[in-house]
Amino acid sequence: MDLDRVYRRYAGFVLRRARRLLGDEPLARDVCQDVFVQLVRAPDDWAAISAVAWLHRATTNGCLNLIRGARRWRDFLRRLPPPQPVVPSLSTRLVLRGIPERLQEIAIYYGVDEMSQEEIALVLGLSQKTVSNRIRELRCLLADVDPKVAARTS
Amino acid sequence: MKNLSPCPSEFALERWRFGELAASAEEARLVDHVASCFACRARQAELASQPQPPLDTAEIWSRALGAEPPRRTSRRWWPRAWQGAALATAALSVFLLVARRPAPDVLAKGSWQLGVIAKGRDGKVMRVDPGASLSPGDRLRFEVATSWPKADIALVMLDSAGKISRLAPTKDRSLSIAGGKRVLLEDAVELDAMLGPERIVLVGCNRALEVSEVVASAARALAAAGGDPRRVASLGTGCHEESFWISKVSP
Repeated sequence: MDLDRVYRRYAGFVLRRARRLLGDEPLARDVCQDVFVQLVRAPDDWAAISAVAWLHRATTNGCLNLIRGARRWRDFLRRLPPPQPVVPSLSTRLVLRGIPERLQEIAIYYGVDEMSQEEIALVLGLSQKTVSNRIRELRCLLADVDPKVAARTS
Repeated sequence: MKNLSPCPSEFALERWRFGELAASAEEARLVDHVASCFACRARQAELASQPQPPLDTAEIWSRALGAEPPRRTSRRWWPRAWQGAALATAALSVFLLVARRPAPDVLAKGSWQLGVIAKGRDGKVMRVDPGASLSPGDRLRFEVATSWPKADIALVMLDSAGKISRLAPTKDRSLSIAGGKRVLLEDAVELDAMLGPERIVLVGCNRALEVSEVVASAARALAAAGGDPRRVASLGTGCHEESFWISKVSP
């Protein structure tokens, strides 16, 4: 693998996404490096379907793994900037509050990234029907947090 | 004209920016939307201007491959002649010991194994895992096992300069091995100065092989993979193939 070339092309994208989810520059840089370490170990066809989807998911999971640790979770909550009114998406913190771990990744894609069901299915490698079912389940949970988000049609 | 289609997600904008939606209906919709949506044009500009983190792929490779700390090139290996002879003898003993030590895993029916044993320039001998970082001057030996009753094998190495090296056997006819046990091949190879990823491919067949044909197949496969040995999935020999890649780095 020509890691230098792949890094030059995509590292900015990965770092930006990690920064967006974590709101912390040093942690985002850690996640960025972790993602490229995973990439080196990944099968040669990692980008066969979509390089952006692979990196998007790896970054999301890297961030989620980081913030799932109890100690870091508290730090993360303290560091998060308040949601900006011009950004229509929920903050990561709000989306993850009260969401079980198995739905957290899809909650990020749906609540923070406002991705379509087709896009979420592409990133997760699942059928649209499965994604649709999980989003339905998620919306029930999110209704307790923000009815406007729960009502979003995708 | 008022734009009625919903704004695309950032994910879609990123895929578009990296050319993953080229010539698709989705791209056409996206182009139409962005052309008439000020907010999306602003997001697109923001995405395109994201700063690049510093390039530090050496540490990434090191972490990914679980590499040892860099070797000190200034270190004198053999301070005195007699010490050198003693250390060489000890290293040879360890090399033979490790090389003859069977790998702990059990060979499943119908399976093949290719093991690589490296002796560093500092005399350290170890079995290496796929993706290991090795250096020019390191010596390699190979251990092959198959659950077939017997097989003919050939071992070649593909480097990132497009060179195909015969590892075993050195003659043109393939080497016959008995199945059901691990066979340490007599041939050893010293890694040359070319740095970068290299792929070692074991070809196992139930008939005699012309090694020159295996080399020619490897050259074609490497060319088809754009010269990157890590992207070579198969040599297309029609025989069983086991593959093992290493990364050759400066000592």
